[in-house]
Amino acid sequence: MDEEQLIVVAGEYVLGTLDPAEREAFVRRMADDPAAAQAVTEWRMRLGPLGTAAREVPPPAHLWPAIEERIGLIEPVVPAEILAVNDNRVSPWWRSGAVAASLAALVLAGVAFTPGRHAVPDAAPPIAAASAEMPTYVSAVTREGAEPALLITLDPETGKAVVRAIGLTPPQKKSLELWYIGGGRAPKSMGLVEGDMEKAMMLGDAMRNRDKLDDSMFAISVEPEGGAPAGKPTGTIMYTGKVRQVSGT
Amino acid sequence: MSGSVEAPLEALIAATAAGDRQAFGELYRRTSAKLYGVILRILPEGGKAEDVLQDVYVRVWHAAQGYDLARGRPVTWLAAIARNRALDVVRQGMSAGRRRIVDVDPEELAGIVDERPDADEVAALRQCLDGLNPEHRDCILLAYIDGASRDELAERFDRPVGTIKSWLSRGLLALRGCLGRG
Repeated sequence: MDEEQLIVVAGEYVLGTLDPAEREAFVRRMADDPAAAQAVTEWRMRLGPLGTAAREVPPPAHLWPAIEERIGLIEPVVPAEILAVNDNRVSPWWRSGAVAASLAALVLAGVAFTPGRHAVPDAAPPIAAASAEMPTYVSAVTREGAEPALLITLDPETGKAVVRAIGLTPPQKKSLELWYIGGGRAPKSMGLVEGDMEKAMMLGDAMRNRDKLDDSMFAISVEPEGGAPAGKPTGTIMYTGKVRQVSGT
Repeated sequence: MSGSVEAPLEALIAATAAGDRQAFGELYRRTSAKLYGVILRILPEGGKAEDVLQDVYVRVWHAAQGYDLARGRPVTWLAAIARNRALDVVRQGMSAGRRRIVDVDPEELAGIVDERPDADEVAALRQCLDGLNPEHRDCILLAYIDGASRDELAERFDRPVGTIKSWLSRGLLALRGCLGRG
């Protein structure tokens, strides 16, 4: 095989167009022919950037939790039936001591809201908008001792909340519903949350002027598919997070 | 890949190699749409493409320590892992249904990620591809980006496989002549 032939075969090997027999023969050759291996390395360097040409397609939200599970970062989502043995139902859960989860994860919240961290500008308009306003309150909604499942920034002036879920997977045939609880009042539904969704929402009436945000919290409950039927939480509380001031006055 | 406050992807890969799950999560958030796009060019949407994306990031989690800048900038490196894994699936006959190779999208080369300081190399690659015979160039692009086989290219261009082999070989040699030996 002369040099040009080697260049072409190595190029076709990197392109992926060799037939199975040719491919096998070339792989064997590379094992003990440094020139063949070098020709492949050179083609990989030349053609590599072409591999990034494809248009971006956001993957389905359930893939990230599946990846975390496979590499042992998180435990599989506990089915609602098992969670229900917790005694959150003894008293209204938003008043119970169980919600006083420690939120060491706030450091993470600060990092996660660094402005401009998105590779795809049009994938995250709510975050971009919030960043410009320098959010002053955050809430990291977690299961006790766990990584945040949801990060929320609050602008106390406008009542705008930017919510970002991090690989949230509802139990089978259930939905996860987000609640805002201002100053010990009854929970107000903020809608369903799932996957890696992010959106901006107005707390509006839910966040009254006299709410002390430091007394407020967010929680996520397991609800029937589509959400709690009567606008009040009915299922087990899965995650909670207090609102903390992180900057400003 | 814009904005000055983002951690460079190199740093995220290095932190991932050290077991930093937060860095790995950010790496996923910033690169998964590109890699899923790469995979979807080779595999139809659905189960296998999703499995491959999972496999790729599981592999990245375990292989991040072996990342070497000399082997390519971060997105190029990640895209190569995604492409190779998707091609494996195609070759094992695991992808459902028959693939149909369509035309080269002239806009698509604009989507090549310029990873500084490799922007010059990308510009050179674009320029050299532009200079190729269009059929030779399209064969190379369809093979690399869509994972097209010689048979699929023969069908797409309605030519014998021997002609495709000749186009590929002439295209590759011309490309190498233009880009240089390195």
